[in-house]
Amino acid sequence: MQRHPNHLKGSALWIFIGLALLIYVNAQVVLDNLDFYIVGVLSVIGINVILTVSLNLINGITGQLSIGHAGFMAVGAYTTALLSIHLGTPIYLNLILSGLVAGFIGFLIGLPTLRLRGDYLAIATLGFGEIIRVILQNLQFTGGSAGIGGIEWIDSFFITQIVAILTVIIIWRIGVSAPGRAMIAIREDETAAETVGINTTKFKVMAFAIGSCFAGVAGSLFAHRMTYISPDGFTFMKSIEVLVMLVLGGLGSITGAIFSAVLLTALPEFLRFVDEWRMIIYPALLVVVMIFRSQGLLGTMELDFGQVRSLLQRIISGKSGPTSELQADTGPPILPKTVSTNDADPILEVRNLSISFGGLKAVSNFNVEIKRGSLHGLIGPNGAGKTTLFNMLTGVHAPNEGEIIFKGEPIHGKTPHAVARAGIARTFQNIRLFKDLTVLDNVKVAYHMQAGYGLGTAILQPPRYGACEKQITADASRLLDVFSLSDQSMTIARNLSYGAQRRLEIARALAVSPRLLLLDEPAAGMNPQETKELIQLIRWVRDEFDLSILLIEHDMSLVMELCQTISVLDYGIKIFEGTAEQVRNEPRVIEAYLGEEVS
Amino acid sequence: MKKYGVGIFVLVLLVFLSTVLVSAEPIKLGLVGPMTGPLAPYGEGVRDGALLAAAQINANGGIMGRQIEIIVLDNQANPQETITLVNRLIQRDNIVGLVGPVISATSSVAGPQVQRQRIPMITPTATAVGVTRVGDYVFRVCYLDDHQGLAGANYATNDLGAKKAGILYKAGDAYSVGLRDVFQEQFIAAGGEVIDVAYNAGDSDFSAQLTRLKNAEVEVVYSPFYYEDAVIALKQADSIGLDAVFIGADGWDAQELLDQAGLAAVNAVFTTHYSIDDQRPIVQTFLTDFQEQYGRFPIVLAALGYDAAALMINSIDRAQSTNAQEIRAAIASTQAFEGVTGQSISLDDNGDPIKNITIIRVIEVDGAAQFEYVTQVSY
Repeated sequence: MQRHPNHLKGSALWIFIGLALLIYVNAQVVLDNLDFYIVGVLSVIGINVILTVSLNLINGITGQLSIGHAGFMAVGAYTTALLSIHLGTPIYLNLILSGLVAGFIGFLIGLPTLRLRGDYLAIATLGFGEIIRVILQNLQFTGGSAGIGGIEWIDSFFITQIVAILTVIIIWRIGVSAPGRAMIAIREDETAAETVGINTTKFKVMAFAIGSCFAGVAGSLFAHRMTYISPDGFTFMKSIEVLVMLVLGGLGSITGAIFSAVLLTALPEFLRFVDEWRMIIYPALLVVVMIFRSQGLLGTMELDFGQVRSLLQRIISGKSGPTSELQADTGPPILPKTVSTNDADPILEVRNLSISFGGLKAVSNFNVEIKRGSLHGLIGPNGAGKTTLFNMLTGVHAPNEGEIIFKGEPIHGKTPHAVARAGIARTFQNIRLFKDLTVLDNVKVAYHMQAGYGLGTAILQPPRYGACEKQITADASRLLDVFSLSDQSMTIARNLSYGAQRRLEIARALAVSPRLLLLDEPAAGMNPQETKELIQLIRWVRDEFDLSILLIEHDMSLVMELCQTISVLDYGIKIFEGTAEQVRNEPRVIEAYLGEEVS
Repeated sequence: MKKYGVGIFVLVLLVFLSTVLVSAEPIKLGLVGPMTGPLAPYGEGVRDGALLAAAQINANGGIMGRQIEIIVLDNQANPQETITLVNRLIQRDNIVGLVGPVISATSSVAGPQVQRQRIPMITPTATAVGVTRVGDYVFRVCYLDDHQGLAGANYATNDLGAKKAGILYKAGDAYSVGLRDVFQEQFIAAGGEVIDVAYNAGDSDFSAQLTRLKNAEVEVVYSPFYYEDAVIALKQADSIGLDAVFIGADGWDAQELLDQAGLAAVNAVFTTHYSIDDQRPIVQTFLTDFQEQYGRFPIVLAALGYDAAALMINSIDRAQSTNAQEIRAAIASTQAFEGVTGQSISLDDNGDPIKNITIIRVIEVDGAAQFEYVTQVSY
């Protein structure tokens, strides 16, 4: 057992075992005089597995609440019905076309709604589910509310199992790949995901369209099994039924989704001997599970053969815990170093930047130039507009006026992920890690841009995929080494100490390969000793990664020691800029901010 | 020949013995319907009616010297589950015939399964036209939505002399929309005028729709939906002073209609499957035996469940065989079968019954609403 579907060395083996087991079961069933009862139950299980696992990609992995899965199933089912009845197309073609049609409609619905954050998708999918049902009820060529019959009967048992296994493999592979990590990052923290260069809209729409596509495939199998379908089979309750299976198994866990789809489909059949009572046992089970295991039966855990094997080995060899080599602190590891440019042009130029929120001018006419390779400080009292400035620089807020020129290119008005891709990375005042992911995964997420492969590679896993993933893991591990986090690379981020979380956030920002790093109060909450180490670390990072750093900090000792140039902000206006010495002696600064402390 | 004599004797003995042994086995029928969930009352009614038919025949020694066993499985009115259960009954329980399923959606998916595996099926209550069109192994004992809509329209035109009809129907509901279509077509064909208004599933206020019909001065309101909605419609029509005659369908045939709508239901008529006032012995025996057996009054679907099972058993008896093909042929050739829901039921080429439709009226007796048999119409 392992948390999060991010390391899956043994997955191929698992899948093989699964296949072997299925073939064995299938052979048994065939030998058993083709017992249509068992075959029927297994077919329903297969369809439910496809529905639940595909919904997991949307709701569990990407964290977007869709409650209209039955609507997409209906699209697939009716596509197949019409194809089968009017054109007599074979099931394989119907499966593919139904999936494509449902996926395309998912894309159309997802595109406008997933640009927004929040529960808009839930409302939109709820609406869609109802609309599609009402449309089907009123269309003549779909048979209206009476439904449509005469779909070719296909003993879809084998093909259902094969499609179910393929669905699990594909969604599993997406889950552990770079695109999947991007989706998980969106679930964990959408803002942080944007700032490491993830186009959140793209990945949300991608997950939604893929999930809808598989719902369509499930609908196609359903239609061929039923031979007659009607709009009543795809009500809101059907969507909820799938959602219940997902939540019971554990939102985010593919293993859990499979487990609960099997359990909830088979259980009422096993309980047939208790007659009416079986319908009470089912909801009672849901209540009990939700009370005692609110995260679902498996939580977000995945069954991983590799983990089981290593656990066995550990038990056999009597060792406790994985043997990790202690990292020597001496000598920083060599990192891929970019060629240092001695260009005198500033890396960042900000001209007349202004923004106001509801009449309040948070930042007005702000100008700054940051030289390549420089350490630039930004100080000012609370509420002076420092973080707002960071938010404008990283695209979180669009400025009302002014220009931001980065590496000679204007970047104002770009989305956060585009800014990150351009080469600006940041940390947050209140740390925004992907809290429920491991330390290693936090950094791997940020390597998303450099992954060098897309969805197709993630699903097909050609040799290149392994090489790319290996490279990402190696790069991420090296980065963790630098920040003395490699011992804790498998720790869940939320369990790290405060200082370690700060370090991890910087490490994650560096994984984006920025040219400019924005640090928002990096020393906040650190003790003097940690601050001292941080100063060295920041300086070292600047040199080693050849970047420019702009930092907000209230700890004057840090700012004064580190920064060559310091800008002072007060009430959204830059009141002074100069060296540490100049700032310290400037009356305006003393009055506005430093006060008695430094004088 | 002589040297084979002993051998032949032993063989005949074996065959005879095996026949005796096999004959001791009951003839198995399957029944699939909703025994749990919101439609459970219908499923239970059909089940109890069917089991009563089998029990009456078993009490008289069964058929072909064998007892009848009906295996009942609950499908919760779910089509997907129905497929699994029908296949289970055929493959595992080796049934020779299927009674059911109850509602049209589940019967529509069961049909292709029995057809594929060549097991005859008689649905007691699935009224959607398409159900029996999937093949020659699928039959029913109830009339179709079409027939009922026609009967309703004909009664409105011929017996009530109506020229202007309102239709209140449930949007998106196959039963309601199906009946509306047929009624509308027939009524207009007879020279009438139709105003139709819809409500949605879950609506509990029809006053806006009924006011429209009142303002249009309709003479009858065709109301193809179940008694729960009929109670609301009748009460609200009463309160807004809409005095048109309500014409319901078999969904109205429930004691609850009288209990809940009370005098507001008086004068309403509806088409249904049989009348308890019918004095034929088969109807009265059914009513007596049912109440004796189950301690309650049968719902109308119980009579159909009874007839479906009785027709299936009767056909096996006529075929004198448990071979599914021969049973099918016997069912298909049914002529003038006497059932509770029809004095003379014959099956047409589609496997649908040719029988009369009963019309019932609600009257007031001593200040209470009561059903009264009006007439029987053919279609």
